[in-house]
Amino acid sequence: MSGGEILVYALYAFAVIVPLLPGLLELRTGSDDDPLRIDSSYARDPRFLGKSMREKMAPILNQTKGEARVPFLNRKNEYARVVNALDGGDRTAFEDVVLSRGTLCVGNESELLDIYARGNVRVGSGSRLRTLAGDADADLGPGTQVVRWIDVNGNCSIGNGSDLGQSVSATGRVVLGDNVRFNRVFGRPVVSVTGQRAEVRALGIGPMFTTSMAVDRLLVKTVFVEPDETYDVDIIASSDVEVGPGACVMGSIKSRGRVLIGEGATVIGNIIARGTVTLKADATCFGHIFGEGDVMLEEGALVGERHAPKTLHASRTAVISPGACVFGWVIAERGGRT
Amino acid sequence: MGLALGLLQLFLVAVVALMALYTARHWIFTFSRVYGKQRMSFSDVYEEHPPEITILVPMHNEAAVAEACLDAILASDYPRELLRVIAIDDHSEDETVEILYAYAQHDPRVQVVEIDGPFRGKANALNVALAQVTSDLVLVFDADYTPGRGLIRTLINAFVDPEVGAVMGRVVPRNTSRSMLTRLLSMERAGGYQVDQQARYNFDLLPQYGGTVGGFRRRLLTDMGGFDQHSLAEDTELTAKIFRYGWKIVYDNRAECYEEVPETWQSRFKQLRRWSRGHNRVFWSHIIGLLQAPHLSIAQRVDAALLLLCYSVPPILIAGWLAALTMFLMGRLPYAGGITLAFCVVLYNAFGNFAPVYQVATAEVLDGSTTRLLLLPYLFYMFPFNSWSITSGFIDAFGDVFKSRRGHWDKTARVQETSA
Repeated sequence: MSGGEILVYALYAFAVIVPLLPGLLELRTGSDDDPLRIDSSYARDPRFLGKSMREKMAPILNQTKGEARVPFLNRKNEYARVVNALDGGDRTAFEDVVLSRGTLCVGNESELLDIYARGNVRVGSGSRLRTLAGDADADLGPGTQVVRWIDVNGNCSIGNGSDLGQSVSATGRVVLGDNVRFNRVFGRPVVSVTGQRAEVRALGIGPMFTTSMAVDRLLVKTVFVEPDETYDVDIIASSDVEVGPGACVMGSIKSRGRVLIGEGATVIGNIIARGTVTLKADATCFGHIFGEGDVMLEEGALVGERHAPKTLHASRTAVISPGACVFGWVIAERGGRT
Repeated sequence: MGLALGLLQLFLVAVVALMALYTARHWIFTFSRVYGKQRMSFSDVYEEHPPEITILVPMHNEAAVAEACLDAILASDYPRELLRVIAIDDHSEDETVEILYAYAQHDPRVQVVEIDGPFRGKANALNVALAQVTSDLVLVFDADYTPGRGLIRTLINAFVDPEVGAVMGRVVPRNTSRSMLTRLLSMERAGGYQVDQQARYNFDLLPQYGGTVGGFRRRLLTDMGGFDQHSLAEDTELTAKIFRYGWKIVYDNRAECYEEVPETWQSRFKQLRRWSRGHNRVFWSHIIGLLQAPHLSIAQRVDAALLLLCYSVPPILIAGWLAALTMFLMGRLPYAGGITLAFCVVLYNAFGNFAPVYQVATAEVLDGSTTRLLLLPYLFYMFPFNSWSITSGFIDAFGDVFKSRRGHWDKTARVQETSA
């Protein structure tokens, strides 16, 4: 074998080995050899943010005597203002986290960061706040802007034209004014302020724990359930599904197209659709709604039930018309509005 | 001679076309995961009244991992009164059965089923246990899996869709730091789940039920007559049946669960060989039925074929290389020379051989890995090992058919890693 040939073979061997060299370093040091982190203690909870904030805030509130300004969680240049109660006027502004043992009221056009209040909270119109965890009711005036989220142990009322940031959750009712924009809202129920048609209707409905009562499946292309008819099946359609006025589907609906639930019609099970889901006036869905398009609830439409809250999930937008009502979680990935 | 050469040439063209198809598939999946629209998951389902469920945990000589697995399942946030765990002892020779009875004594949710018949293996164990299940929804965890507190709810959520017959979560190795093999397997798993399974779900193709960290509707199994008790790949069998009968599988990338991957090359070889043997048997049994399934679109049928064929690719590829070599030595390899050959070699190296590596790299980037990416070239050199083990399984499966013999379950050795 000539010297040139040996050189060619050596170069070839080098070319084969060289991609492995940087990896050798990683194998030796193991700097990135931990398994992908899974939080095994995590369990999904719509109120997760509020609960974890309270866990951090409550000790500060308990350990501070009287009213004081104290360092906040050992963070540099961040302070918590602990008060027994706060009654601020218009344009109240705090650069500190505010922790209140009692009520917290601020006037119009106030600017707040993080708030934790054990009493009722009232925020004047045109105000801006970052986060709010409240242990009682909250009342936000018109045009309130929430930068992150709100979580209250009580009822929450949102004024017209507000922007609700990432999420709002409450153990009680969440009443949304007109033209409110939101991403995630959880309430028992979530209703629009103008008319409680569906909520009143829900009072007459008993516990409904089973979401689908059908045993058989109907595999079809498109379906139109005639008005006032009852279908005792799960409907699986490769195109659109329309349920006529007053009709009832005892099972769930899966559609690769649009789903239209007619006026006064009822779906006992879930609705899963690739396209738009529309619940016409006074229509009811006792199950979950997952739409990969928009989800529209017209006047008096009802989702879920007071004993069995559900999820309404829109991959695009969700619209809650006046008088519509959702018991549970409303999620709109591209924003929702009333 | 002329006819033989013609057939060889035809075979070679078919192999190239098949590899081009797999390459395109890898690329499409990778791009979909990075730039495409990700299909909605059911993780956000809020349900205060979840259904009754049963979790099956088949075990054979699992004393090293049984406690950790059962502890994790029993610590779930799923309502106690709605959760039942059937721990199946399949002819264990270690202390597994004593451990299981100790759990059953202390927790009424746990029931022990002992398999004492002539058959053994996961498919048979599941069939026996399924006869005692009363709930409609059934989840399965292998004994080396430790589900997180909220995982059971997350998996169950998928059944809000009436078309869903089974759900599959993401498998994450926990013993990554043990050896070079475990690190490479961790990367392979990332590519397989984070990109491949999610992309198949995005495109409404055929995400695979993997036999663990997943579940199915019991009535679906009952209608299908249960698992083939001799099957070595009951998961692939169920996947094929689900799509044949007009149901769907949901892959939930957020339903993550730790598992233990093989730590020795020998153990990995046996595992891959068993998978290949079982998978190829399913391929031969179900490919025609899937291609003729009335509920599947053309894209879904193509994906079904590619999914079931994947454990036949290494032997086909090896045969292709031998055919190419034969023709080259006989001077009959078409286009074998000059710029065309160079172009094809460069093109295939850049886009073909590396397509799966790009897929793994994408998965690792999505998972937030950093210097782990330096190990990517090692995957390329793992290819001969994988090819050999899969080809061995392919030959076994071939032998099973011709000799009408049954494969036996060759269990993967457990080590118990507690670092995660």
